[in-house]
Amino acid sequence: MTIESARKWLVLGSLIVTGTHFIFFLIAPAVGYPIEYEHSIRLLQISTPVFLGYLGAASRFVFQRHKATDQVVISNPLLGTLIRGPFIVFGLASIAALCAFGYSNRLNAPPGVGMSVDTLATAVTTALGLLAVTTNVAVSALFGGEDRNKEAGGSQND
Amino acid sequence: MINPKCLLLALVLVASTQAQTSVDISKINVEVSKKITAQEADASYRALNSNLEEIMNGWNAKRLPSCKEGERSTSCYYGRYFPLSNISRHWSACSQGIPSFAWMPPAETRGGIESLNTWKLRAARGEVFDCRGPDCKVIVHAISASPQETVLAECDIAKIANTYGAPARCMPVALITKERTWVSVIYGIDEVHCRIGTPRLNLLVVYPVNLGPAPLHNALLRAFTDAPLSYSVESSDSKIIGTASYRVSPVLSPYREMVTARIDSRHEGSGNPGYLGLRISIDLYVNRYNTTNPHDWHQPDNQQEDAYEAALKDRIKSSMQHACRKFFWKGSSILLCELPENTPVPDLLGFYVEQP
Repeated sequence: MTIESARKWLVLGSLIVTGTHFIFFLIAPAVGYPIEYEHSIRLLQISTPVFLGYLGAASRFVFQRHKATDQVVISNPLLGTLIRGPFIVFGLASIAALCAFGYSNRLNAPPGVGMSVDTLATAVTTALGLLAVTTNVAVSALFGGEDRNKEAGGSQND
Repeated sequence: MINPKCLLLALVLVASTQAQTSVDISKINVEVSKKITAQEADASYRALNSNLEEIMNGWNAKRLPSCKEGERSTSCYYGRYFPLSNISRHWSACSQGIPSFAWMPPAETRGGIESLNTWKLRAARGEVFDCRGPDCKVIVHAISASPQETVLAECDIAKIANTYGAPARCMPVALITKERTWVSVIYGIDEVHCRIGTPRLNLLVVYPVNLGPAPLHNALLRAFTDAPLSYSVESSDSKIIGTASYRVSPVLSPYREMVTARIDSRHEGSGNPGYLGLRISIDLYVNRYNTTNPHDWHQPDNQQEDAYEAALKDRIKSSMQHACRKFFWKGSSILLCELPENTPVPDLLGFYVEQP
């Protein structure tokens, strides 16, 4: 994976996750998914700030004046896995949690076996933590390159 | 390395445990109409201590006799004894008077520590007690003002077969904090007069005496037992109690409900026509989720409450109509059953159903 495609992945991934979360959590309560707006917005508040932060970093990177930004060179073959993997895991974990929540709270489910909103929030937070712990480093390296380049003398090699 | 067979067995065990989980009344966390905090309890204790003389003078000025322990008569005072409040003994019909409550440390009340221990045990087990037919009492955890405070409340609850209704008329009886514990006490009983008025849900059926109240009573039963309400029902001549627990509400779907609906009836068939007064009351908790988490169960909002009352009243009215070959409604609350439309109905605003 090239540096450029890694950046694209991060930006696209963040946009897709933010967009789908917005759409899902705003529409779901209205179309019968078993969650109340109050809780839906709470989950949105948990999940979106991380991705909005990534998008903010990417925007600053694009619009700031810099010369040495493309001097970041990362040739580790794990780069692709570390960029794509957390997004895929977060996506799958979110889908699994939301499906389990919806299924266990369906109308004809046996009484009392539903997943609580707190449990769902915990699942989303855990998945988000996995994503953040790896992706934050990548975002700071890929989009915050100028300052680090200045400090490190202009380039960084892995 | 985990053996896949063991993993599968564990999953099956967990799944079967989940499937067998029954509804546990001890997990209910109710809202009480009158919330209490440690500061308020402390203030109540101090106020009572500092005003004790004045309070006793007040009782004496009214020439009220001293209550004996456990006495149920009206207009007496307990003086310095402060027996623990015991709602099942004192908090019932208004003709028995309204107790005056305060908060005190259990060690300073008669039998306070023993009662507190019993309440804690009952709350933990979720067991009902003092059952008279389907009407029971239960000690539950109440929603406290702060997470550091535990509030125990005594509530009425209907139990029909193995189905519980919603805890109702909850009164906080104990407040437990890390530092101190308080229990609710009675220090006197004031005489009161029953209010005669029109409850929110009131129906009056006027019928020819030869019809008798039995078909109307059966119609009321059908209203509760048939779909959509499908309550578990227990009835006597003067009351019908319907309960439902942890099911999807037929009225407020997709919310789940825990409900006790009650019809108290008073029959006057000495003249012609006969009158059947009905007072309908509902105790309802709802939950949008399929959980037993106490915090998910809450009282309905005003809109939900109105919708539920309207649905229940419609169902009862519709069922009552079917018991009559010919009927007319006078307003929304008076049903003329098999009587001409111009049947005079006396001023019945004072008609009310006495508390059993």
